[in-house]
Amino acid sequence: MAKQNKAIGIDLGTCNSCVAVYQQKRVHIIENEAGSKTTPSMVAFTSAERLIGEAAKNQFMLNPQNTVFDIKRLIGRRFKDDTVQRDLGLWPFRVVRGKKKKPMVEVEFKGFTRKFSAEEISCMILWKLKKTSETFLKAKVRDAVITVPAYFSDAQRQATRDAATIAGLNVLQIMNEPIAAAIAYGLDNKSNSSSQAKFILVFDLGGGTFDISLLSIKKNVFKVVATDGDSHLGGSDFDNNLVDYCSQKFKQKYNGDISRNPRALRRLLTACERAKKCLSSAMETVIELESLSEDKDFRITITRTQFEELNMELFQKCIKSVDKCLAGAKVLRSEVEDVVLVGGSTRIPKLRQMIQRFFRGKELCNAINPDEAVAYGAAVQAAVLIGHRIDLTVMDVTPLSLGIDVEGDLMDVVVPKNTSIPTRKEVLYTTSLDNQAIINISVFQGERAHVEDNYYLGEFTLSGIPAAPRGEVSIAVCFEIDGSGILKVSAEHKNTGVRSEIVVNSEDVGGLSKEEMERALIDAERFEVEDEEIKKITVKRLDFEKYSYKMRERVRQEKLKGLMDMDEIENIEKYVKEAIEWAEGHDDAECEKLDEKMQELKTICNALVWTSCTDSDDSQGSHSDKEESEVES
Amino acid sequence: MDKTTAAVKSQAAFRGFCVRKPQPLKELRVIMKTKAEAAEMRRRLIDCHLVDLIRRDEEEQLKITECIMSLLLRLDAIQGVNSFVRESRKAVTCELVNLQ
Repeated sequence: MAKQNKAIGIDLGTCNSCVAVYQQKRVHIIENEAGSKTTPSMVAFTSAERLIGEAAKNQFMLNPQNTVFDIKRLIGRRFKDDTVQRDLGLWPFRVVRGKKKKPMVEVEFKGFTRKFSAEEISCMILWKLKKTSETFLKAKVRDAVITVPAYFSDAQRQATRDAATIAGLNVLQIMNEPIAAAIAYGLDNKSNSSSQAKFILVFDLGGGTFDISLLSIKKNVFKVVATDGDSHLGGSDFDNNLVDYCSQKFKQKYNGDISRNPRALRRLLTACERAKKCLSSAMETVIELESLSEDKDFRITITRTQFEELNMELFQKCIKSVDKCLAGAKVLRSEVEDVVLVGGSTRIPKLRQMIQRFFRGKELCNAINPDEAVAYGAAVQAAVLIGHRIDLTVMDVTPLSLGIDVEGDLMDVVVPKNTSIPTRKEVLYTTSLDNQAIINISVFQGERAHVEDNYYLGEFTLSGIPAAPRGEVSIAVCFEIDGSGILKVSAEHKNTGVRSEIVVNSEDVGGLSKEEMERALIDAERFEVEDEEIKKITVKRLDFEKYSYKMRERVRQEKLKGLMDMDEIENIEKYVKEAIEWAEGHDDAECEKLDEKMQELKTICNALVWTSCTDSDDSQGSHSDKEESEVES
Repeated sequence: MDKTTAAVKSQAAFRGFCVRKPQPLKELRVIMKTKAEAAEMRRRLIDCHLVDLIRRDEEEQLKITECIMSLLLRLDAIQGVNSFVRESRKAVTCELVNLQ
């Protein structure tokens, strides 16, 4: 039914993003314009243009202050959150406090200082992925499933949803990454027969983050049971360990210190990263760098065992997290049916071996490229949602408890943590004062007893309660969470039917308000227009340069022929030379200026074209030109 | 051993050889290309006007070092070199490092 309408699955990662589509009964990972299947989640701003993905990454060293990455660590968070404050020092770009305590990224863009919210930056990445898939599918793409980590709060999910909306995507579902990975392996179908819940462990070790999620599946319904991990552990840590080791060896051998030589370190880091990848398949590899520092050559053989020893501490940390996660959920390791590996660093053989040993030799799910597994699952889910197959329902859970404040600023939990959604819970409350006509209900999210320690989501009032002694009135408060995790809280006085409700939406959880959303949408469109404009200018520039070089060549030929007036030819030559220099010196020329210059150059060079045409008389168009000028004279 | 197995085996061996065989010429070509680019860079750096600009402008300086860096990384990426290739690579690397 929905043949024309393709829905994509997007894995919006911290370091890299990936997009996939389900077509012709299989999932296709869509390559970007550079031919790689993952796109760096990076956006760069320069004095002339905005760059996204590979282009942004390539110019990172030239422009670190205005290259934004790791935006996933900011999205949906507040400026004063501990994690944000901790990460602030690690980034070369500036993060400032914006409206409503939101963190904003401050960059120099086209000569102006501009602030962007995390949603806007994410939107640019999503927009790029959308364009990539549109180029691949040769059709407009609207519907998408986007994945987020299992531990993301409502605010973070909502912010991701906002970002997608600005990018012009219709979000079918915000999905948990581990569930997407499990779906990619078809673990949902495997459980069809058994009615008992079974457990799946998803081990995700990516470029910068490490997440463990324990899922349970029962009759095609997924639940996230527990999560654990480390937000700052990933592939680059292994590289750094190797770099440290190498620089130590270098010091021993030559007594030279390279830790203060950034250029040498960069060469070493690149070589170490390559060595690490190599060691996943080979038993040993050679790092060979000539003239690394002070004309000293560096050559070292790294064996797989050495590499494993260097990183053993990190590996063990990973396994401990798995243990902790299982212990927290009170699940025995023998109860885990499947173990799914996600993220590039799970290619390391030692790590695989350790996980396998931990689960007593269980076969691991590693058939799908671990970089793409999440996008793969998201694409399957997207296809399901637009009606390709219907034998699957995914159910998420609330990552944190939801409740309201009661007397004494205490948190009264209405929807406990890990309740599967969609859900609807109703609780009866009563007034705390005599003749209380108005009741104020604040909604919180979190596990702490006092509301001020929890995350404030919003509040609303129910008025028009009939006068009665305290405790006599009963008010039903109802929490409703829909399939994509959006919360609606309502309160109703049962006898009179007075009702009031709140949808905990973007604005209330610190996401984007309607106006901000509209502004961002306009910005997004404008940027698209600007990007188009830049493309147009580039084409014009190239045309101009091509034409002037062609004319230079022509002048040279004419000179050799010697048929034309020497003065005239030199005049033209001078002019062409000037034009070439002008083009080299004006990278940022505007469209009209280029048009003007082109026109000028053409007028001057016409004489050339004209004379040569009278010689060879090969072109109809020029021929008529000649006739016209004759008529004029 | 039946015919198909034999065919598969010999083809696998051949293709494996194709992938693994040393390709000094290919490597040398990359080195020569880099060398030419390095020479071009050196030529540009002789230009007093540009040197002056680089001294004054941090951004220009960064651009040049980045160019040299990318050439260096390209050289470093050449794998499995024999002694002959290594020597020529070393020469170019030295030149580039000195340019820095």
